[in-house]
Amino acid sequence: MEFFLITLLNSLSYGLLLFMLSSGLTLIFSMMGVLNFAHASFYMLGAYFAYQTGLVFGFWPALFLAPILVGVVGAITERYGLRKVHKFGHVAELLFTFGLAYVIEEVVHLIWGRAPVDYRIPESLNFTLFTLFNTQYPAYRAFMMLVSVGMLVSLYLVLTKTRIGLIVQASLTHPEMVQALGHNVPRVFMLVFAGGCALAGLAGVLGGNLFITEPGMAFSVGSIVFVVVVVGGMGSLVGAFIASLLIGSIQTFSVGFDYSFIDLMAALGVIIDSNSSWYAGLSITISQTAPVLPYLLMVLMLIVRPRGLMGTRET
Amino acid sequence: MERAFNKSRLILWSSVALLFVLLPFVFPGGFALSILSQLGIAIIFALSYNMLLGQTGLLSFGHAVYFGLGAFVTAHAINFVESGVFGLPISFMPLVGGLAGLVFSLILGFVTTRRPGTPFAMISLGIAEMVAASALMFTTFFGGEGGIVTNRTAGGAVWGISYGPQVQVYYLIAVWCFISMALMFVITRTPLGRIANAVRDNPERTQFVGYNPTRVRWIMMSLAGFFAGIGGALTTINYEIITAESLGLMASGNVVLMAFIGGIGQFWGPIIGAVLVTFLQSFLSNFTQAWLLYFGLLFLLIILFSPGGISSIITIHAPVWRAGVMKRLLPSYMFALWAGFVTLVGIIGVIELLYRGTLVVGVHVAVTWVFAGLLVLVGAFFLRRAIRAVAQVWADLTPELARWS
Amino acid sequence: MRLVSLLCVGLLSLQVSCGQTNKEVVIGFVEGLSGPFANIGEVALRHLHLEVDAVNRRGNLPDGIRMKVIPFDNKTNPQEALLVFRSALDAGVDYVFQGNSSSVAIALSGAIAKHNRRNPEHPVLFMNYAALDPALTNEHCEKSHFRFDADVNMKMAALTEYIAVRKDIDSVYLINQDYSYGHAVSAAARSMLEVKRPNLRIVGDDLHPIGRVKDFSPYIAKIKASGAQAIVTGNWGSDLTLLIKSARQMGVDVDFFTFNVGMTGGVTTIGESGVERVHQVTNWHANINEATQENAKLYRVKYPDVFEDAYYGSIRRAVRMLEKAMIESGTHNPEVVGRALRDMEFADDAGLVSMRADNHQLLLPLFVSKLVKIAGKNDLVDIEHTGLGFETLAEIPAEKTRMTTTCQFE
Repeated sequence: MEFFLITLLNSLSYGLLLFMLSSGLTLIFSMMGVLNFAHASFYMLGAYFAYQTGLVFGFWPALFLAPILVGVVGAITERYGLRKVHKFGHVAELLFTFGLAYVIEEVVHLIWGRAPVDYRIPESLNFTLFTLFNTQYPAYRAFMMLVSVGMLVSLYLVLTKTRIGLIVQASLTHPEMVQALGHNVPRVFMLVFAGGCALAGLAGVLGGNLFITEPGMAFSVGSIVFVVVVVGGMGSLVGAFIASLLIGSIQTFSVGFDYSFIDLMAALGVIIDSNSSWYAGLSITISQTAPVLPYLLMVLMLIVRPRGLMGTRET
Repeated sequence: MERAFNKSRLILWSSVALLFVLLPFVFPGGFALSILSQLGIAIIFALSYNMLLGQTGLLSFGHAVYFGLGAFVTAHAINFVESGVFGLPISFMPLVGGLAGLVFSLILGFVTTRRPGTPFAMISLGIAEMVAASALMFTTFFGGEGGIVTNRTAGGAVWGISYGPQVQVYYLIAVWCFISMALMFVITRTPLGRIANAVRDNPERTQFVGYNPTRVRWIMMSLAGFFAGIGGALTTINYEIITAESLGLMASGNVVLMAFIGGIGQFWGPIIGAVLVTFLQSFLSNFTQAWLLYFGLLFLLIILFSPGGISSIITIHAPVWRAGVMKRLLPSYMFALWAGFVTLVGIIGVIELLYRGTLVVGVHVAVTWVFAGLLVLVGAFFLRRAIRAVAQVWADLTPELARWS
Repeated sequence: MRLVSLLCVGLLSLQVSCGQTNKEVVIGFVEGLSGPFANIGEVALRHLHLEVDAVNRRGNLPDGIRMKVIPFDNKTNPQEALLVFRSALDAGVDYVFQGNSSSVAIALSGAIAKHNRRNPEHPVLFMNYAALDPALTNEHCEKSHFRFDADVNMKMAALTEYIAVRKDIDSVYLINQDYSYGHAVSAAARSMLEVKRPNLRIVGDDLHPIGRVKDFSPYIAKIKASGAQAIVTGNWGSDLTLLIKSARQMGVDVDFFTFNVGMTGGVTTIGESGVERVHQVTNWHANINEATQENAKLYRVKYPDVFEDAYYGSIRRAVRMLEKAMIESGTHNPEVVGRALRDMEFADDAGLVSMRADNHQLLLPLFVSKLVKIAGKNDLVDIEHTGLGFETLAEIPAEKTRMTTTCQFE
């Protein structure tokens, strides 16, 4: 019971972090049709910026500064990079962000080196929030969840209740009309891209000190984010939310289960001899398959239902 | 006209073959042989990737899967030869790798080639990650973290060739590279190759003409997997070890870089890309830690300004060459080259300063920083004017070239 | 100097590998200098530089030659290691130093042996300072490979001796990295504990992917649920520091028995919550005797601003024994030096060590130590300015660490 509850809380905090990352990606995709390969790189930049500004200003100012900085980088990328490539088509845009991911990682190597940096949880949050049975639950994880939920709510409010949000929603489906009505649609695109990147940066600020801040962090989290976006459905924020929690739970829970096919058969009364030639293959436990499961889910989803769980468009 | 066409092509291919044979004599030495061997493998891999991308329009982020699986199967085959399970001369091992690549791409391609464009790219990414992640699960096949180690001299010497010395391995790679290049070129000339181009350009119309785009994509994918598997087998023979890294995203990303930098519009484009990327990768990494940064920047520049890659830059000049007006371009080109060089030196200076702290011994750091910064600014200023000059010359030239292109 | 040799390597039209002038013996440091274990690689490189500089200062090598270190980044990957080994060969390397990751070591050892067979005019020796998979001195042993640290079985024998007397522990959880080294640790722990403490329950045996897990909380939750009183782990680098970090955050109060907790970052991560709880078995730590404390101080003097304190006694041992072998054999030729290394005895700071001729494994004293507060104990030094240091609990003499071997050099 204790294991289940603690792991549930852990998977919730991880899933919400994934959601913060994938929501930015989904927004950018819905708006501009661009699948931003470099999205996880902005996540990494958020962590590094937070580390660097945190050295000077402390954690709390960094919490606000770093995402803004990342947003600025995103805006520059859109204005001088993506906009130019836009006329060459979606594939060229995809490739541009692909190259950008390489460049950002190398720039991080250049400035901060190849070893992990010591970006720490601030002392003010480094305590135990509560003790469940015998296990302590760190306050920082609860803080992460709080920020994620708060961000989701404010994103929803901004998109549906404010004027700029309405313009953004309209540009989603009728960009020409919105432009004809006198709004600066390219500027709206730039704002959305910057906003999506800032969200990723915020995720980086929070996740960077819980997990390690190192140049490889973009690479390790990048593919999972794509899985989330694809499974949730390209273009749907709610889908991304569900998928984030789903993938987060799969990844966190599966570590705990050491049951394999052999155990399943044994429970049904069928004993498989350890000398049989299939033993090695069948004795693979769920915890060993944990890394593969998200990708398996993504491939299956793409084959069976390319729209994703709640997607509004296919490509 | 037809015969002259064939004769020049024959001469071209023969000189390529001659070049392959003579290269080790021009560049002897261990380092040179290692690089040449790597180049051969990279060329096969990049060309096989272009069968998917340039010819059929399938952007794949997981092509290294077939390369890697071919490599693993070959490693096991060589180990079987060593333990006497069956006998096959090492020279024919690339076929084993190719067949493995073919089988896997037939299977995986069946489910993935239904939709082109972004869904295909995502599926290829997912499959690549899946296979890489399952490497730790199936340790008998993948060897876990340690990978699979082989001995390329297994089975003893056949016709006096043991593959102990690196030069023998180079010639093996050269032969298979030549064969693969020729075969892939022939495929582009067949009806299959042409229909694949049609599927790339307009799948709907191809369907109306009566061809099944999915079927065409599947066949091209399988063939691409076959050649990638050959490359994988050669890499196993060359390094005598294969780990799951070779099937991962980094390797797949590398081949995308190669194909794009070289240019996907021409058959020979990826060859240029493969040579450039592999050579610079080995060469530059000895001088600077920032080589991957330079690559990424080069890639970005090409995507931004010349998405057709280096090959398109070359082919754009073909009409100019034919019209005989190359020297009209020269002044503005020299200007641009000079300005570009200055800017490049400045940028390299800044990047290297950031990596190393100091660059020139005996000179204060601040001075080198200022100097590098000045170079960048001055170079950039003149570069802008140079680009405008080049654009002007081309604008004047284009109407005249109409009858030469 | 380095730029010159790099230029030599770079120029394609070179006939032979240059860089090895007659006045230099080239040590290739083939190690992971990027990726999740980059910081460990950097620490080891610093230790190597310290020792090589000392050798060059002493100037006792034959013919006035000097040692030179060239680092090569193998990205902690076996395939990449073989690739950079090629570059190292072109730079004229004579001795390869490597230790982080046994899978790299096994691949490298095999490649070096193949190279020596195919190119007898350019022999290379492999000085393994930290890769502990027993296979390297058993079924995968090679004449060109020498190991300067105790292997997994030796260390686990020492550790389990100590665990056996801890009657307050009756359940243990094993967690290791999923590769040959981690498998060896787990297997050794199981078999040895079964013999020494048959009534000790092993309530868990986990293997996780090396260098990839950033969040160990699911594993800690499992450990919690199992009710284990102690964790036995061979983890190293970020895998160990993150494991400890998670355990500390979730308030898991167990004893840790490790191989590597003194390695960079471990003590700082566990902090005061690890006092009296965290143990390690090592071939060296700063507080063994005055000589080791002196060496620890030397490291700090040379590197006053780095984060970590001295750790790799095995690197110093390897370089000093190499120096001694060169002086004894009067040459720096690896083949002759290799013959001098076998059966060599050496007086190290922690005690007398000797290289076995039958499998090239060093026999050396091992120390089980635990983390304590140094305040009030005037003869201890601390680590990473934490006020915490290691105190020896038990010493196992070198001869008692000898294990049987299946090694047969051809």
